[in-house]
Amino acid sequence: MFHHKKPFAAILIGLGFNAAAPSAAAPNEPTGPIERKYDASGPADVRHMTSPAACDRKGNPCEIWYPSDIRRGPPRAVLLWANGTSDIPVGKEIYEHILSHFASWGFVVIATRDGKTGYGDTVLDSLDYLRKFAARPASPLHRRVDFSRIGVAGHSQGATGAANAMLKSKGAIKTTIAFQLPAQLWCSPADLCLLTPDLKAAKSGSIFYVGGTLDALISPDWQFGSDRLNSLNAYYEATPSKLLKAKGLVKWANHNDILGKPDCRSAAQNVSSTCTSGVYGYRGFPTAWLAWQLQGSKEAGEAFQRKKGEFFTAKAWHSQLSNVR
Amino acid sequence: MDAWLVAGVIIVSLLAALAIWVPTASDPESGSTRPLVQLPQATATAAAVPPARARDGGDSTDFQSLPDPRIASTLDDPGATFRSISAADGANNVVCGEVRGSGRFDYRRFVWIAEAQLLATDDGGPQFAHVAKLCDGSYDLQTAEFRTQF
Repeated sequence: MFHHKKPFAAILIGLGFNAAAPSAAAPNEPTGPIERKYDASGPADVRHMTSPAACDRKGNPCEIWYPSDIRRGPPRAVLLWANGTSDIPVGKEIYEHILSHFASWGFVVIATRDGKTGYGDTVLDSLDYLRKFAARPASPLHRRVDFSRIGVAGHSQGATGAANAMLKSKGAIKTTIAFQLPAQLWCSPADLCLLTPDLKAAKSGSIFYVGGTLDALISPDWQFGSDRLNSLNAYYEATPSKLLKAKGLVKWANHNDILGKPDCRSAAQNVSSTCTSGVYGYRGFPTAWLAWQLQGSKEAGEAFQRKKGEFFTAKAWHSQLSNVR
Repeated sequence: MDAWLVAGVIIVSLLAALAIWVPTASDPESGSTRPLVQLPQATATAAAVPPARARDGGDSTDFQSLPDPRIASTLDDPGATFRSISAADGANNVVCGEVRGSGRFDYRRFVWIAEAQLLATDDGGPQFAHVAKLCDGSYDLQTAEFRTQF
């Protein structure tokens, strides 16, 4: 496997651009109607709560975001979240912006505070907890969660955990968004990884791989020759074609831009070396993907149609691929 | 007349290039001359030697001596030993060195990025060689640019 495609940043350097230049401009504005729609906050206000008890096998509590109008309309789809690596529990403030955004579009979002989510086990624990919590008559979510429509998303090691959770869920989880999925080179310990045989054996679900053009070492789009999955292209190609799949890179985004609230200076932890613009660009199409996969929005799905969908002409995105017809 | 004009332009260009090059080359923050973090004497001596693969022996560093305890936490291997540790960026955001995991006889190079709390070990492939450019300062994590070395 050898990908000759030059990294986006290298091309720009060759043209004489400074990679840090966009910080002065409006970052990654949405350009089409679907991206614009889902980049904006959804119709609902968002409520947050911390689980009153531990929600995973490690004793972590969970953070839960849900739409304030959850008592009205049909039960809501679920989005499980997997954090990036942390040696301490991950507080609600770290991914608050993007997770609140998803909840404003009607999703019940649950995130364990676990900082080692790569195996996906604690992510599945959080789903079990949510089932029990929503079954209690006193819960604000009682009978308001649709457990036939479950998705999972995660960042960095959490992208690994999200994919593993879907693969281990025996079909319960319908879709995955993997933000900044690390190359297998970064799997430490070696099994804390999205393993090639597991991915190639996937029989159901869908995956949207989301990277950043400046995240060229941890989650690169291309790779040098290797049998390992060391690039988003390699992960995409290894994903069986029976699964719906898409891949794209947010321009000018580095490994931790998704932590922006919305910009990098407002992020809840210091990510000055690995956050360039902020969460802009991460809201629109990922939310559209969830709206399509979990809420049945046909127009959102059409945006990912191979080569002709809006995703492929979006100015904030680069190196897009999909097998959506 | 034209020959004198051309010669003059060349001389001026050379002088301008020299003026730009000299401060860059002497910049202590640039290239291979960038300082390492302050480490215990034994470790600092080892850090000055370019890390080599599959090299046994030499001083090892226990977890307490690591510039950031999260490196050991990332590896999740209490039996691992480290040596030749250096902070490539002078701020412990990129830490390089060698690690010997439990049950292994050889040390392997590693790169650890603090803001991602991820660690890559040398698998002998070109992808790690690319990542290892962080260690000599020839690659900038923030801008995904290669720094020009003089």
